[in-house]
Amino acid sequence: MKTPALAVSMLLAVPAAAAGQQLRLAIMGAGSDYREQSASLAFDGTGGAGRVEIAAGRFTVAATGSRLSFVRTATAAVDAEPFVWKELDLTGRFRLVSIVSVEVGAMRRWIEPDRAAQAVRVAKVGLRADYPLAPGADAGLRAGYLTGATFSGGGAAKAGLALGFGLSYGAKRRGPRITADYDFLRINRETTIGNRIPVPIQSSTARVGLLLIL
Amino acid sequence: MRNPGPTLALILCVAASPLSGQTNPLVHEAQAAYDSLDFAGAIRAGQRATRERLPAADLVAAWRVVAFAFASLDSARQARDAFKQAVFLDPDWAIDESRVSPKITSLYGLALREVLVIRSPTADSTTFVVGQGGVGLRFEVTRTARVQVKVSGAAGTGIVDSIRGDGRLAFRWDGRLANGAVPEAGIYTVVIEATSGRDSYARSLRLRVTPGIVDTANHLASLPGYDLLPETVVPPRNWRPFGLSLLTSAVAGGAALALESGQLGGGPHRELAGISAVSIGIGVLSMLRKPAPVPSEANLRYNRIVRDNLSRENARIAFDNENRRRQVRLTIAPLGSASADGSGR
Repeated sequence: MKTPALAVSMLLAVPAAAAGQQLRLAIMGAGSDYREQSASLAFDGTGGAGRVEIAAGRFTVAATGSRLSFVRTATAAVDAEPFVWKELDLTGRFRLVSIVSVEVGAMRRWIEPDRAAQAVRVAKVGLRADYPLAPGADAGLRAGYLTGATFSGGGAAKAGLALGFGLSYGAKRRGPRITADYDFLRINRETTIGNRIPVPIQSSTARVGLLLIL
Repeated sequence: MRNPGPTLALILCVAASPLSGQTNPLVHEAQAAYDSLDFAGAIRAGQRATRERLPAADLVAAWRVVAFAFASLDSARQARDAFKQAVFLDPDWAIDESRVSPKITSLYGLALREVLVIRSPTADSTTFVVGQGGVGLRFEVTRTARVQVKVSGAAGTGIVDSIRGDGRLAFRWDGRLANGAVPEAGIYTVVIEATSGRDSYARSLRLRVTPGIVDTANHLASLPGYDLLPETVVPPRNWRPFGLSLLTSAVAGGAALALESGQLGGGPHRELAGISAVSIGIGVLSMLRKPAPVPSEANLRYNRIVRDNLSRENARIAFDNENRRRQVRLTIAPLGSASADGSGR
């Protein structure tokens, strides 16, 4: 699923860059802390991630994909099963004023094996601020509201929150840069059978890698 | 010697020989008699010479000997008449007052004021634009007279100016002929006419006139002395990048910690700590880096003013060039006096 999306993005990116727009490609290593329901379901994950962004005028479209392998932490239950998480995040942004943009998007997370953790589909809307630190260095801060979540294990969530920030640093405005970003996600999942029991999902993901701006 | 005056005057008269280098025997005889203080003999020989058909230079020399001799004999009227004849024949001749006795000099001066001649006409060698500059014409009129200066040549005739006056006079020809016509290349004659009652005198001066085009000016690419300033300037380094990165990390990290679910237990926060450290490192690097250039309003305004002035200057140059293409530049080279012509006393 990720491969066709990236290919489409690349096809779109080439004419965009040629027309004087901006294309951003990033490949990153990722580490994550994933927790579900209680401290007994805590996992550490490592893997890789990639991102494609196309900016044209006030509009930006971004696709982020990642694949991480999780193993239980020392504090987790011994029967917590390791799993692989594949995630795709599609976001569209529109710059409202100066450094502030509004963004909408959707995130989907696949889990293998699916019994090990909750696969999730969720929509999001939020605000984002992007600002330069220096020539060739930028920072961004984002916050979003998650809604419409569905889970592979059932249940429902009235709300969720996503927070994040990222920075990039390079020699020039265009060209290669190092990039680092952090995402925190919390979804207040509840069971829907009988009493509503809170079974929240929370992840903290860090990514560090190389960004190429064309 | 009780009164040395007459003797001194005599010595001055003889020392200032009135002529030199003449070839006619009669003139030589007159000169020799004058040099021997035989003034009567000098007058006789000189008058005989003036009745001969001699070249003009010899005639002038003969009249001068006669005039000097009469002056030495205190015959003022005859001396003045002889001087007048010499002046008519050579109007540009002048006595060297430092070497000739005041008695002879004063008689020569009286004679000069009694005749109407134009002396020493000269013109400048110059280049000028027709109607803007001019060539100076100078001469001397010995008596008060109405003086008119004309220019004539292949392209026509034009009156330069006229005046009533005497002494040293100066006129200026602006290069135009009648009806404002511009001269063609060639030799032009400046005719100076002086009229006083029944007396009139005219002299001419030849000029070589060469018309040419007037140089046009190139448009300016920049105003001399007013270079454009850079439109952006690099501000000094500051703490802003570091502060922003720290603030970003603090806000996002603080919010994430605050939003963590207590039900899930506190994690090690390795991810948050790691990215915050990278973020602060990037902030430090950005702080140490040369800041981004920012537009300089003052320089932009200055450049706008300079460009406006440059545009105005180029518009003025274009206007001047348009005029210059319609102008003619004349180069004047004097060729000397052509002739003298007089009538009357």
